Amino acid sequence: MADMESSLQEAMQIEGAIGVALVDYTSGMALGTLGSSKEFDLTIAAAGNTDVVRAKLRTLEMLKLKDSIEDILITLGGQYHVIRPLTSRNTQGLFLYMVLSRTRANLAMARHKLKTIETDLQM
Amino acid sequence: MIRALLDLLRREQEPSHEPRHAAQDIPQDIPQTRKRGVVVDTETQIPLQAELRELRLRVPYVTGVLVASVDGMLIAEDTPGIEPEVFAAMSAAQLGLGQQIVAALRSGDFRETVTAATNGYVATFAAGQTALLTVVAGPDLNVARLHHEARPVAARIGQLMGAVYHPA
Repeated sequence: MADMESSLQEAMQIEGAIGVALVDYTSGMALGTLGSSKEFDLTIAAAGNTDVVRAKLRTLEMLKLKDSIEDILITLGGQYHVIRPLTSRNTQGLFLYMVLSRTRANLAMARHKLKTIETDLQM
Repeated sequence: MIRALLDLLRREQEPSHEPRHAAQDIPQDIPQTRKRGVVVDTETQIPLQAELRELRLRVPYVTGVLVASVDGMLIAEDTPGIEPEVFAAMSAAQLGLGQQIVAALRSGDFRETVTAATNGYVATFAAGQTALLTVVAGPDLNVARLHHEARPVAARIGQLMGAVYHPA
């Protein structure tokens, strides 16, 4: 079991990690961020990606798919953005948002590690 | 400020067929002087309205926006279904309380306060030294997005108002 701070630190250890945020998608606000900079403001990314998560959840609802999102992958020219809605009882309503360098990261490994981090995360 | 708010609320409740009587209870000179100070010329009103419209367009689930002076006088509004004069006064009370709390903590200048209800949000932002911006929104509001979009709007409104309005 790991608390939020150490989970975020662990996520930053993933090869190619640029930034990570734990976000509450009911308010769009980040509970914690690591790797935020002047050029890449993770609080703005948190607010924007909240709309992405909400849109996808609404889409599933409209399609009457009785399923949940494991992760959302957004591939940019130079980055991967991975969004992982959390599902345990005490993390519901939150998602992990991870920014990876496309040249340095191994996507499969990063997804696997994020899954482990999610399982261990204790709020 | 709270007294002004209570007066307004009381006035709301009074039956409408006695407006002349109600008007006599209010000291005539004070509201008039205030009103003179608050009336903003069209040159300021146009960019103010544009800012409010733009904010409503940019942030989903926002249902109303208004600008008021720090003493609670309505300056500009786009608030369907809400009594804007009363809301302006309540916003000023909210801002005043926020400023006092911040002053007591000595933690810089008041920036904004967000009130969350089970079925919506009300946020009041300081707009410079003389005005405030209040946003009313539904329960699905992305609060962080509102912060991101409304802070620069409040700053610009502050600049606009700072140039034209000087409270007594």
